[in-house]
Amino acid sequence: MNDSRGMRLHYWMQAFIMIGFAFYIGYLVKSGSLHYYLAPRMEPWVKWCPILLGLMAVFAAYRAIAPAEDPVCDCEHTVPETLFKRAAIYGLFILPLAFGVLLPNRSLGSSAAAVKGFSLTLPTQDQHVRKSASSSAVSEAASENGSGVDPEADAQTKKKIFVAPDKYNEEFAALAGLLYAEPLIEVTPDIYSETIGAIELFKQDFIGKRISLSGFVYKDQTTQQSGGDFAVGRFLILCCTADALPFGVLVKASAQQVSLSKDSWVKVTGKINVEKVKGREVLRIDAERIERVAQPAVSYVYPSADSVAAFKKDLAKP
Amino acid sequence: MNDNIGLKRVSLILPSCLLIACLIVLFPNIRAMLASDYLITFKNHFLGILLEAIPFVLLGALLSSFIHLIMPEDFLGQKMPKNPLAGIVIACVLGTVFPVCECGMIPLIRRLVQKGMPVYIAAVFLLSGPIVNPVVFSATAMAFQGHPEMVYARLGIALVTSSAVGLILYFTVGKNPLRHTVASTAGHEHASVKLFGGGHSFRAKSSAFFQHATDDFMDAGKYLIAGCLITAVLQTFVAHNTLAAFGNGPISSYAFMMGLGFILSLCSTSDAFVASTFMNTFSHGSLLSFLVLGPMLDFKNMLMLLSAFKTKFVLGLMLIVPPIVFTFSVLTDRFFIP
Repeated sequence: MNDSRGMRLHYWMQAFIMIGFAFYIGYLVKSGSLHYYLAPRMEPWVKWCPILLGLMAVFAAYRAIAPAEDPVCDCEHTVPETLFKRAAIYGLFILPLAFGVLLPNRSLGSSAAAVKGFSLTLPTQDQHVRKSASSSAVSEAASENGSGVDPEADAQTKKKIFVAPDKYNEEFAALAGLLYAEPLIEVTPDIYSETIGAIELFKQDFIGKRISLSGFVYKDQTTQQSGGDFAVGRFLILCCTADALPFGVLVKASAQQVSLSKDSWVKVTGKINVEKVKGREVLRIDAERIERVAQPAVSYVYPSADSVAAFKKDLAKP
Repeated sequence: MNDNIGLKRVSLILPSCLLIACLIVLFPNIRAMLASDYLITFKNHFLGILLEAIPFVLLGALLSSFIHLIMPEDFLGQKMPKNPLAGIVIACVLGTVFPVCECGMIPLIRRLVQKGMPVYIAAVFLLSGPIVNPVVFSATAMAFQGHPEMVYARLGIALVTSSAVGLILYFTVGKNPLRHTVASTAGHEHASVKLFGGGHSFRAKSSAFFQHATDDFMDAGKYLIAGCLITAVLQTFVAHNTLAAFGNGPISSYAFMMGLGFILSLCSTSDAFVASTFMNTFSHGSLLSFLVLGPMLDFKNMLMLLSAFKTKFVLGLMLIVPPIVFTFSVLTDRFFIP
């Protein structure tokens, strides 16, 4: 069986496909374009694939030229007899490579966000927790101000203690405290979703605070009907682009600024406000300034393992 | 090789060469033309799911090849307990010990069945493994913060469902449902290469290891790619909220969530986050049906199962599993979720 020409051709094709995948994945890793498809936490798994695939390609090629009496038993694998079936299988393997090579690497945009359902709140945050949180946090924060600490000094230092509604939101509460102390909240990509989540959790306290964030412009029926003009958002990626969750914040621009086309990248600076959309309170930014920016190299955002530590690290940077 | 086949080959190779030549000449234009929004979305989904799965399929193929080279045929047939309940318990424990996700599972399962593991035990392992493991447990706990009952309910339903399917298979499946059986070894007189003993050289052993892995990878890979392809098309064109309109009734929400789980073919570590976005729209029971059915059976998975098992067996699984998941999800929603 090993010595037939058909089998040898099959092994050559195997070697060719394996080396193709090895090179393509290797290229994605080397050029730093893996982030278009996978979240950073999946990357360590993919990195060693080119080596294994390369080894498999070498041995497939070896089998293609090996002498017929080589003691390799491949009895349980049957190779389809007809040329058409085999061509179809090879074609199937070449297809992803062709897509990878022929199409440019580009991030998901508004059209994908519309299909997936653009969320005006942080999608991974539990709605039930959120409802109970904002009310309890306000009262607790107020009582904290009243008892012990001098309220005037407290207002000057702009410090506020946020009490998490449950133990799962302690990180958000700590982050909210740090964010509250900032004169201008800069939403950085590495803790983008956590920052939005923390502000959302205690949104009543953050009304009037200044914020600055960047993202792509998203418009649909909901954003048009609301008091805002468009939404500015990102895709939150958990494992791969298939589970991307598009989310963002409503923006109310002044009249002369609204001619932004969808998918253009902007940096919005303004004051935090709250608006009811479809019976749910969501964040809205009353924009003071909207400027066009270049799309960042990595346009997606990912969940952060420890947002408080990441925030402190960002602050330490000049 | 007669002339006829040679002619047939030339008739295929020539046009494809022409096509490739055209592609190369037109390359810059084609690149610009193809870069439409939908195509980019499709490519991102297609390659995203595929690249996410490849490491695990590769791992599964290597593990499968390793098992093939150290175990004699029917090794597991002699070791496995004859009592079906004991077998099912072992399979559930196996799932916790081997945290392989569903993509890596299939080449491994096929090899284990070939080495004599009873099919019903393999099925329990296959169905419970992607859910009952520490990685998925912590991911689900993170997605459903404040709802620990969802995490335990997911594990519980997964265990009960896979055990029930295992019992049903124990009483119904008689013949070996593997697509390719080992019976074809007849006629091979040479001793097959084993990793330990047998007197083969290191070169023969390592080449046997990688060559078996390549065969396994290609066998599972063709179904994986087909599954990714169809999933990516659905994800690109089917809007989630138009689907959600179908899921308004109490029963239809289960149908919708299970259908969504089947179509999306997400990895079991990330599907909990996607499910939690439906927390306001649907009942907890329907979310559970999504969380349990998705990793057990989905589009990509079903096609990969076809690489290992006969079509009849896969269809049987498709008919047995959803009603059981549905029943237990409804019961859990009624009696256990506050």
